[in-house]
Parts: sequence; C-alpha cells; structure tokens
Amino acid sequence: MSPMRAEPVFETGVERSMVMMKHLVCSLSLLALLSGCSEEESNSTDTGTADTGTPAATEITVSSDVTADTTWASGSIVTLSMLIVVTNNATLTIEPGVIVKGDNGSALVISRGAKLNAAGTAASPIVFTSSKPEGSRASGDWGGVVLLGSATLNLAGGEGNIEGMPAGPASLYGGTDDASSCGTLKYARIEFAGYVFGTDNELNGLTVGGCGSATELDFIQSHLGKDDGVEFFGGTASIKHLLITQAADDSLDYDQGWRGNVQFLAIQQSASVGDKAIEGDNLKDVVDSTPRSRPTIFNASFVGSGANAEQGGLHIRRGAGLILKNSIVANFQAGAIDLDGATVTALVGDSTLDFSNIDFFGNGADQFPADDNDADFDEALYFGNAGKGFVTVDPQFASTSLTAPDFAAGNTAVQSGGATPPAGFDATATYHGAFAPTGAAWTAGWTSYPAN
Amino acid sequence: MFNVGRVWSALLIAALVLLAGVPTAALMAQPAPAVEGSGATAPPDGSGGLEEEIVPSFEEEIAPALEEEIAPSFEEEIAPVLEEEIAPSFEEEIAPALEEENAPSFEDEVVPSLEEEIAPSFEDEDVPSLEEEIAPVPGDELPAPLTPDAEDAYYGDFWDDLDKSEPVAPTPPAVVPTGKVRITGKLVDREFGTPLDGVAVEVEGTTSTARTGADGTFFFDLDPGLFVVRAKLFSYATEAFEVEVLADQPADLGALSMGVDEKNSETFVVEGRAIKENAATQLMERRESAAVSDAVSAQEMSKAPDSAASDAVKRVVGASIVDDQFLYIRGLGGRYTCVTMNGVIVRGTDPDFPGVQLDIFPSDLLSNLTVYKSFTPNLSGGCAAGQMDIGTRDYPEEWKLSLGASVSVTPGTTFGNHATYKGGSLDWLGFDDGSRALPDSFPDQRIELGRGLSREQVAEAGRSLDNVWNPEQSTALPGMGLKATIGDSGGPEGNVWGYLLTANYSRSYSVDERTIRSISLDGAGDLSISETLTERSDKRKSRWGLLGTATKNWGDANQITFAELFSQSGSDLVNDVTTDVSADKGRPYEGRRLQWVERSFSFTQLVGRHRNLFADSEVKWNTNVLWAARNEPDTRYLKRDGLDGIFRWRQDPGSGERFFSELDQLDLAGGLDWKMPLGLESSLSSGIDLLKGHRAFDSRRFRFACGTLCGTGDQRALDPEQLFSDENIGSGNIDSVLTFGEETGGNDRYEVDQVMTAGYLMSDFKPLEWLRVVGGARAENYNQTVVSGSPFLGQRVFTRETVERGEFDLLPSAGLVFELDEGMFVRANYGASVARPQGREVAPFAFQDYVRRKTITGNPDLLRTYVHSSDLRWEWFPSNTEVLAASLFYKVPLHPIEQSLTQAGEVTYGNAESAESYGAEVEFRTGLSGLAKALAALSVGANASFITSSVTVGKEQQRAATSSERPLQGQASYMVNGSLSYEPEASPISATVLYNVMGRELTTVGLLGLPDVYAEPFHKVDLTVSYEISEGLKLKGGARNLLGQSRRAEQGGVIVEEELTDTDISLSVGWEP
Repeated sequence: MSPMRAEPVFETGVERSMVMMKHLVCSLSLLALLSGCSEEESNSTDTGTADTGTPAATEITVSSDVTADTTWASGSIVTLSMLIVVTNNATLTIEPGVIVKGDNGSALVISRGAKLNAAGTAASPIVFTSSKPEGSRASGDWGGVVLLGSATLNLAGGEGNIEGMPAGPASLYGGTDDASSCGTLKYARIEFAGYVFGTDNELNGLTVGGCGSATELDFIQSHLGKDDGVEFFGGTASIKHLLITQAADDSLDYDQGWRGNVQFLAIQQSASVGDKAIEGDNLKDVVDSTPRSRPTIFNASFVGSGANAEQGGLHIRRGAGLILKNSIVANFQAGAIDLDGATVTALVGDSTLDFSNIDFFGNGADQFPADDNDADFDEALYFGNAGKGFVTVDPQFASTSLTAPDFAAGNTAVQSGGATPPAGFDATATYHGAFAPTGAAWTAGWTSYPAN
Repeated sequence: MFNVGRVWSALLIAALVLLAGVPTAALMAQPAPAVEGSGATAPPDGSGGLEEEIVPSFEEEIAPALEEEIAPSFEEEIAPVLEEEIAPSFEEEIAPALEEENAPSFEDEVVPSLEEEIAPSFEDEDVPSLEEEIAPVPGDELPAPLTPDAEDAYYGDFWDDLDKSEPVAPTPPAVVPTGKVRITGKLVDREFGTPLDGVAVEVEGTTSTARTGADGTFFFDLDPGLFVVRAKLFSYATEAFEVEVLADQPADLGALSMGVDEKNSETFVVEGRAIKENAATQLMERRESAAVSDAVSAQEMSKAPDSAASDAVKRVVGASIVDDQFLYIRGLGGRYTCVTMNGVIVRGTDPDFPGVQLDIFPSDLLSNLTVYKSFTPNLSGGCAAGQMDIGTRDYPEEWKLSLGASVSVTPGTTFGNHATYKGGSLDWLGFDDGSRALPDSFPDQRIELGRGLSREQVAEAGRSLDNVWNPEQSTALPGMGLKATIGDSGGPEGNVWGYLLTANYSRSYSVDERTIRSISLDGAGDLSISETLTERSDKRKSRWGLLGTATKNWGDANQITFAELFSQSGSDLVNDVTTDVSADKGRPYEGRRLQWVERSFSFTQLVGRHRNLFADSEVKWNTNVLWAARNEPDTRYLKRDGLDGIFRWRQDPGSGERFFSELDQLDLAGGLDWKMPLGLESSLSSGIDLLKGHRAFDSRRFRFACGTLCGTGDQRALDPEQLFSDENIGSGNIDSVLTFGEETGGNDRYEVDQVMTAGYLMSDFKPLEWLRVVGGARAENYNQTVVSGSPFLGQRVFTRETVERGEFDLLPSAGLVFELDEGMFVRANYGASVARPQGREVAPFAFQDYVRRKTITGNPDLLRTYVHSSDLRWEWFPSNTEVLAASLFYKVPLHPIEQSLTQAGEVTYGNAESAESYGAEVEFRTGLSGLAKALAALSVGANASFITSSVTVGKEQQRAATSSERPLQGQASYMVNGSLSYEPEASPISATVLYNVMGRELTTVGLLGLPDVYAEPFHKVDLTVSYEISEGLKLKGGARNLLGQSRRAEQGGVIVEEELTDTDISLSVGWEP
C-alpha cells in the first residue's frame, strides 16, 4: 500500500508488524535493561551532494552562500546547487559570457545590502539558465535571480520577506533609502526559471524587491519564466530594454508600491501558457497603502498569442497606478486593458493612472471589457478617446514567431505621433512600441528563444 | 457548616503559595521560582548551557543528575520545609522507619534492585506468601474519607475476615444483648427492587459485621450513638448509611437500595479496583487527586451522543476542541497540551502540527477521559497547559456480552446527493486497497527529464496515474454503527483474571457547506468584500476500532494487565470551491480537491502493579508500543477559470497536481513508579519514564503543465478527464498538450528521532488531618534529531540536513490540599513545565505544509518555553455524585513559541516577547432531590470557564501581522457546559439534555492591517433519551446540535466564514443478554 516507491522508507504491512513485534519485545526488556534495543539506522544522514562527472577547469559548483566579495570570471560555467544567497553586504561580480546554471530548487539571491555586478555585453551576455541538458529544459527548472534592497514599499512596517523563499533574514527586503542600489544587471538572459515554492508562493524569472533608483537594470530577457517573467515588489528601481517572452503567468507583475520607470519593454506571450501581459497591484487586501504602485512606462509592445481566449493585456487592480504611453497592445483575446475595481478607476485622470498614445489592436471582440466590478467605469469610452492619442490600427509586426520574433511595427500610423518622453527617458522615442521603425533592434545579438 | 479556623489558615497558606508561585515580572528573569524556595536548582531559563547538558543515556547522566539535583533539592529544600511543618513526625518516625525498613534509597538501590528483582520476585516468589503479607491496617483509626490505598487495605482485610468467618445468621436471635439496640434493614437492588443476599455490611468504627440473608435482610445489635453502616457487594457501589441509634429504640432501616449508577455510592472498590467508567468513581478519584483534575466517565459519555473522544472531551471544564480534532485546555493547545493513553504520551499523526487528532478514538472503547490541569512530578513535564488521559476500558466483574447497532440520519443530507470519487474495494474498512497508490510501474526516481529518464518514460509515468478527476454522484446513506463487547472474569478468589474485547465500526456521510469571504481595506479604513467563495465538502468516513484487555491478579499484591487498542479510519472527500468573481482574475472560478486520508493507531501496553514490595511500597511498571500512521495517497487538485460560460483548466501550482504522502510513527516507552507509604496517609514516590520515538514523513507531488499544443483547439476547456487523458500527456516542452513532471521539493521528507528520559521524586504528606502537602520535582532530558531533505538521495541537488537539539529541565512543583470539612477541599498548586518545539519547527529551511497548503520555515534558534503555572481551587463534594467547585489559574509561559506570518502568508516560528493566560472556572453537579421530592429524578450540572490570554510579539516576530498584542490563537474567551438529566427510579426511561457554548476565539491572525479573525460563539444543544424495553434490551435516541446554528467567523465586523450546520438524529439499540 505504500505509495512511496522512491525508496523503501516504509515497510510493508507484514514487515511492519514484524517490526512492531520486535519493538514490543525490546520495549518489554527496556525495564530490565534500561538501555533498549537500538533501532536500525536509516541512511538518512547521507548528504547526496556528491557531484557526478569531472568538472572542467572553468566549471564551478556553488553550494554555499556568498559571504564575501566574489567574482565569477569570464568563461566560467557556474552551477548553483541550491538557493545561493549573497549576504554580508558582499558584491558578487559576474563577468561577461559567464553561464550560470541552476539546479532544481536553486536560485541566486542578492540579499538586502549586498550587490550584484553583472554587466554583460551584447556580444557576451551573461546567461542564467537551467542546469539540465538542452532539450530537457523547461520553465520552472530553477528559481531565477532575486534582487533585494532597502528602498521603500507599502507593507506595514516597511519591510517584508520576499515570497518564494524561506522566511528568514536572507529574504528581508524594504527600507527607507529610495536612492539605494541593488547593483547592476545588464545584457543578461534568464531562462527556464521560476521555482514553485508553494501555492501562490513562487519565484519569478527576475524578482526585484525593494531595490532603489540607483539600481541599473538594462538589456534583460526573461524567457520561459514561471511564475511571472519579471516581478517588482515595491522600490524605485527602473528598467530599460526589457524583453519578456513566454512567461507562464503574467509577464510583468508589480505590487507593494513599485514606482520605477520603464522604457523599451517588449512582451510576448505563447498560446499555451501565460495570463496577463501586465498585472499591476498596489497591495493585496489593503488597497490604498502608500507609497502607491505607479510605474511610468514609455514605449512598450505587448504582444498576445492571438489564440488563447483567456489571455488579456493589462490588468490593473487592487489600488495600483500606472502611467503608460507610446505603446502597442495587440493580439490579446480577452481584451486589452481591464481597470479592475473602484479603487483603481477612482485614480483615473490624476497623475497616478494615466494612458495616452496607445495602439490597441486585435484584442478580441471586446477590447475593453466593461462587465467587471469597476464601479461602472466605461473603459470603452475612455480608451476610445482619440484626443488622448488612442488608435486602433494593425501595427503590422514584422514577425510574431515564438522562435524569431521581430516586433518592429510596419504600420506608419504607429511609427510616430507619440508623446515626447520626459526627462530620464530617451526623449527621441516618440514612436509607438518598444522598437524604433528603423535601425537594428535592441534585442539583436544577445537574446535567444529556446523551447527546451 | 465547616471549620472556620481551617478555612482561614488554608486561605492564608494558599495565598502565600500563590504569591511565591506566581512569577512576577521581577521573577521572570530568574525563572522556576519553586514554591518551596527551590529556585536555586532550576535552570536559568533553559537557553544557556543546555547543549552542554545534553546527555546520551540515562545511566550516565540522568541518574547522577537525579542524585545531584533532585535528591539534594529534596533534602535541602523540601525536607526542611516539611520539617518545619511536620518535623517531629517525619524526622523522628518516618525517616528512621524508612531507613530501617527500606534501606535501599532510590538512587543507589531501587533502580538496580528493581532491574534484578522485579521479574524474579514476580515469578519466583510464591503467591501465597504475598497473600500472607497483606498489609496491616495502617494506623489505629481511619479518618474518613479513606484514600483509595487505605481503603483497599482496609477492605482487603475486611474481606478476608468475612471469608474466614461464618456469615452472621440471617435470622436474628430473639434476644438482644443488654444495653444494645437492634437495628435491622434490608438491601435491595435499586433498579429492580430484588433483595440482595450475601452483601457484606459493617458498622464503621466497630468490629460489627454482617452479611445479608437470602431475603436481603441484616441486623446489628449496637450501642446507642451515631454510626455509619457500609454495605458492599461485587459490582455494586459501596453504600454508606448514617444511622442514629437511640437507646431502647430498635429501628428498622427499611429497604436500602444499592445500585451501580446511583447516588450515595461511595466507591466501586472491588478487589482493589475502581470501575472508572462511572461518574461517581471519577469524582472520587478527583477528590483524592493531588492535582487539579476533571474527568468525563464512560457513563457520562453514554448520556451524550458523542462518538469520539474529540466530542466527549468538550464536556470537561475548560477543555475545547479546535478544528474538530485538537485539544485545547484553557485556551492553550498544540505543544502546550498532551494526550496520554493509560498514562503514556501519544504523539499526533499530523505531519506539521503538534497535537493529537482525537477523533480517531471511538468513545465506545474508552472508560474515561481525565484532564489534569495542574502539574505534579509524576505527570509528563511537556504538557504546560495540561494533559488529557484517555483510559481504556477494563474487564467486567462477570460474564458480559453486549451487542449494539445504531443508525443516524441528518435531515437535508441523508438520502440527498452525495459526491464521492472512484476508490478501492476496502474503503469501507478505512483502508485504501492500493487503488490510489502509485502504480508498480512508476519509476523509483524523481520524474525529471534529463536525469536518466527518457521523454517517453516520463510521459508514461504521467499516463500510469489513474485518470480520475470528476466526482461520482451518489446518495448519502444513513450513518450506521455496530459494536460488540465480550468480557469475563474468574479464577480462584485472590487470583482473579479478567478480559474484555470490544469492537466497533461506524460509517457516516456528511455534507458541509460554507461561505468564505476575503476582505480588503481601502484608504478610508473601510472594509469591502473582495471575494466570496462557496465551499461544499462531501465526506464519507469509515472507522473501526478494537480494544482487548486482559488482567491477571496474583493475590492482592500482584497484577499484570495487557491492553491493545487499534483504531483505523479512512475518509474520502470531494471538496469544491466556487465563486462568480475571483479576487485575482475577476472571473468565475472553481477549485476541486479529491482526497483520501487514512489513519491507523495502535497502542500496546503491558502494566504491572506490585504491592507489598520492600515492606509496604508499591511498584507499578508499564511498557508500551505505540504506532501511528497517516496515509494520504493521490490527493488531486484542480482549478478552473470561467470565461463567457466556458470553464478552462488553470495552469497553476495546485492545479492538475497529485500529492502522495505517508507518515509513520513508532514510539517505545516504559515507566516505573515506586510509591512508599509512610503511614499517616503520607507517601513518597519516585519513578522514571523513558520514551524513544521515531517518525518518518515522506511525500511526492506531481503536476501536469501545459505543453506546446495546450493553446490550440482550446484543449484546456475540455472536461478534466478528457484533458488529462493518455493521448494528451507528453513530457518536456514539446508537441503535446500536457507535460508531466515531478514537483517534489528538497524538504518533502523528514525523520525525527526523539529520546526522552525523565525521573521524579514526589512526596505526599498529611501532616495534619486536614492538610495534605504534595511536592517534588521532575527532571526531564529530551533530545530530538530532525533529518530533513528530499525523498531522493544520491541525486545531486538534494541534500539532507540534520538538526540536533535537546535540553535538560528540572521542573519543581508543589501543592497543598486543605480539607476544610468532610468533602470540602481547597487545592493550591504551583508547577513548572515546558513546551518544546517539535519536528521541522527547528529545521532551518522552508517546507510545505500540504495539509494547510502553507509554506513553513523552521527556526533552529527556537527556545523551548518554560511555563510557570499556578492554580487555586475550592471543591466541595456534598455527596459522592455532587460537586461544587471554583478555580482560579494563572500561567506565564516564558519565551512562548508563536507563529509569525509574512505578507505572502508564509509561516515561521519564533519566541514571542511575553505572554500570560489567566482565568476562572466554576462547576457544579447536583441532584435536585433536596429541592423537592418530585425532582428527585433530576440532576443538573454546569461548568463555565472564563479565560483571558495575551501574547506580545516583537517587531521581528510580528512581520506582516496587524497586531503585536493579541489573545492566543485558538483560545476561547469563555466556555460553558450544562447538562440536565432525568433518571427516575424504577423507570425504564431516562433522558439527558446537554448544552455547550464556546466564546469568541481568535482563529486567524490578520495581516497587513486587516483585523484578526474571530470565531463567533456557537451554541450547541444535544439530547439523548434512552428506554429500556426489557432487561438487557435498551433503545437510545439522540439528537446532536438541535439548534442548527450557523458557525460564523468575523473579521472587522464582516462575516468572513459562515458554515451551515446540521442536526443529526440517531437511534441505537443495545442488547446485553
């Protein structure tokens, strides 16, 4: 009857009763001897950490936390055998071209106070991927990259334990320094990540918790990530040139008062997995907590699969704000934007929740579903207002292939006419979408789209 | 009415004890301030230096420790105190007597000598010699009431005398001796009115004895005066009647009745054995107890429609049941509360929650439930709030066969729709027959591509699982139960043997419907409902149990009892959760769980009692094997989201998931108690307890995820059994609708080894007729090793980590019992105890609690909690079935272990800054015959507890919790029980109405600013009516939960949980030929 076939942990019924008899006899003699019978030792003390195979000179297996400044040099293949936390305010430097492979259950965590210095190049990107052989890899093989910092967030008490990790000191994030830095992550791919820790408790491809504005996140791809492609929990970190492909749940998720800037964001969903392109929350249950989530996004291309009736574009809920301009939302069967709940629609019109210069196309029969609980806010009316630069034209993407996508928009109607991005953004990007109509795409050279 | 002087001195002493025992804030820094000033021997707070003291074995460390610590502490501290109070009697008389007669002191001699001698003495020595040595009657006069021991000894002699002498002739001689007065009477069976012959009757304080004749009559010729006449018969209550003999006034007492269940029964002492199934006996035991205790007897259980220990214990003052399973005493549960069976600790079968699931114990197999609320050294030290002892039934006095059957219906459920799912052929016996187990062909390694398994092998593994995701609709049948008991006793007088075999079986159907709401808080501080879920749970439960006991006596002095209790239960569950608008997606949602859980429990015990060893001392030993298992094969989880009327499978953790787990626990335990009577109803006892336990938990979980073809053709909208069909299952992210894989994590298996060795020394002195002093200390050494890791060894990634911890604790306690007047007592107790972290709570990593679907992170720095408890109780037993009691209690747990929650709902453990719990209890039980003759058949009882607790957590511990100061979780603010029984004499009908209410209790700690969740008071009324059709044939009708009130929980004024409850109606027939 034992379902556990992995190891003969439990005896069969007969063996069990034999053991019981033996124990009874032993226990009877306990009184006489006061030292009982010893039970058979189980082999439970085996550690099983032994690595198989002969590591090459450039292969490193990391199996303990990084507690001092450390460099993983170019040419290295680093395997994370467990949850690796950079602690003790140390800096982990990862040089261009390094491949970091994660075993099941592992992740790379930069704890609060520590820093990541991982600046790859377009020619030599840093690749974070599954340790399984090519062809056998799948999303969720390992836990991805977690950056934790000391910027503000809206949890009571100003800090929390990041989800997806044991609730210890290593998982603390949040603080008071909005100008702080978690380090640099540049020209990096994160593949097959997103460890399922528990129900509603998962790591994402890239998890950014409470990182400050000095954090540099640029040219990053999250591919086949699970739960979400990239998730921001509070903080003020900004991100540029972000490509999220085939995430299992939401592509970009934010909560707990994230106020970063985003420019050049491309998101592509596959038909088989994926929920929303953006899922924005302020704070679950306590929806008006401050600081309020309010990212500012310019030049985003949100590309649905066009073949999944449940996939929606943007879902803004639980008191979240958002500024979104110069963007394209296309091919989401379940609608383009859902402003969910009175706590969200109440924010429309002020500087917390605002949209302009967006092309909505091919988002199902009802691009702006109004049959939800949003206090009778008329999304169709709001997003139909041509005065705010909303258009409905086919952007004519060059390719929506999952293996070689090219989201350059061919329709001249969206190649210009956007708002001028404000200070801190690339002000020349007055087009709709993540890619300029001319010139090489910023994704060229360092990105990749492996299926397994 | 009672002696005023005694009352005042008692109150004064009690106040002093409480002042000394109740630790004030200043004392907290130096815990364990024992009442008798033995604080110096207590460890500082248990945190420091414990590691150094962890000891490998009993012989090397504990025994010396006992010698060094207990003995000195006794000699230096308790003895002097005692000396002051009873100095002459102890030093001059008892101590020398001890030295002369019992030369072996405990440390040096008794343990080894016991090792060598117990068995031989028991086997080799001739039983007759023991019989000859029956203890002399201690003391010249026996003050009433007798202690059980004294009473045994007394009546032991009495019986012998009677047996040797000729019975007094039933026909009284015509001549009454000069100056004497003739008193005559007749004893009849209370129930049937038949005369009782051969009843031993004696007059207390005289040598007069008599035996009734065939017509039940007896006589005495007595001097004038006030006498107590006692009548005693096998299986009947010993009766005491007050007789005033006036000069020259012969009197006929008339028909005096004796019965088993009736009032005025003194005790059921037969061959030194109390029938614990009787309420009066329980009161008697409680009266004689040194600790503060309360009990429910089988007799009382039979008056309530309670089928399991978890129902019955709710009738005890201050006891409550959380989650229908776990015992809380005065608001503390889990690690603070122990459950023992015949005195041996039972550990729970929940993989992650400390606590014993009481619903596995069928009440038909139990003789009594006793809740000890104050600590004495002979009780386990790890039960800070108290411990409940489950007593198994004992053999009957004569041949007994009883059969019973019952049916129960729940209007609205029975004969209605009931969902179940495909199971095995043995489900009705509470066993899965292997239908839900992983198939034999299933790979023994982790199911993972790229790790030695081919794509096809992985897919095949997925296909080999039973493709059952939909429930089957059936009809809820009436619940049914069967029970049978046989028992007998016999053998030559003095060498009696007896046995009892009981079996019971029950099967029940239930449907629970619940509404669950989530709330959110906006900036204006207003709460709104963000989600409303409807839950329906269809459950079918089978349970059976067997109890066998066998006892053999060798004379009065030696007795050996073997007991085996086995219980098996299994239930299948179809749980559906639905909503029209889910909080996370804003769409319709349905979640489903198909689950089978089976639990096995086996307890094997051998107990020996030997009296008159080493002069008068008494030795009791026990050895036990306890095996408990929980098996949850193939729980299936499914989630679906609706859109435009079509429900599609949600690809998510906990959806398309299958979970297998097994927990196995084996405990070996033994104990030895030695009690040395010192005369004057005083005694010295000492003992050791050993426990060695092993627990193994193992689990695997698997999940289907979307493959590359999942999005085409809207596959996810298929019926689940079509979606998860073989042709759709593939592996890897390639050309299939679904991919199969294993999600077993790195800590999904653990093993815990526990070793506990304990010893105690306790003295029970009665320096004054009205004062009893009980004091002593217990030393416990506890070691725990936790090994946690993946079920898969030898594969990289997965490691197993070992955490070892242990502690040595010295736990002093002291109690005073004042007998203010006959039957009126004041008890004052202080005791120290500990609450220990269990299992994975100390493991430094996160694991999944799959039962509650939570992530838990253990904390290796967790300190065990040291608890100071004080109790003060006044009790009055106007008769042997009546009681009036009032108690106060105060508990201070130092470094209490509390859960701490993150915003993601993750749980971790820490030591809270401080906590306290205090309260009051009142209780009464009485007949109403005093009020009016017409009410003689009525008896009423009520008890109430009022408890206040608070816990203060530090910032680190508070984490995402809203409040830093709150009541303890699971602590009801008050509990009230009431009962009204109607039992007319000589009538076949009797009836009992029971009432129970639990006050508001904190069930869930609110997070992120949301208020805490409180369960609202729930009132419950039960009714039982029984009718004796003819001799031996009894019909019983019961109704549970007549009010059918909704069970509700409230959060900030919003009802967040609302469960409709049903009234169950049962009818049972019992036949005892």
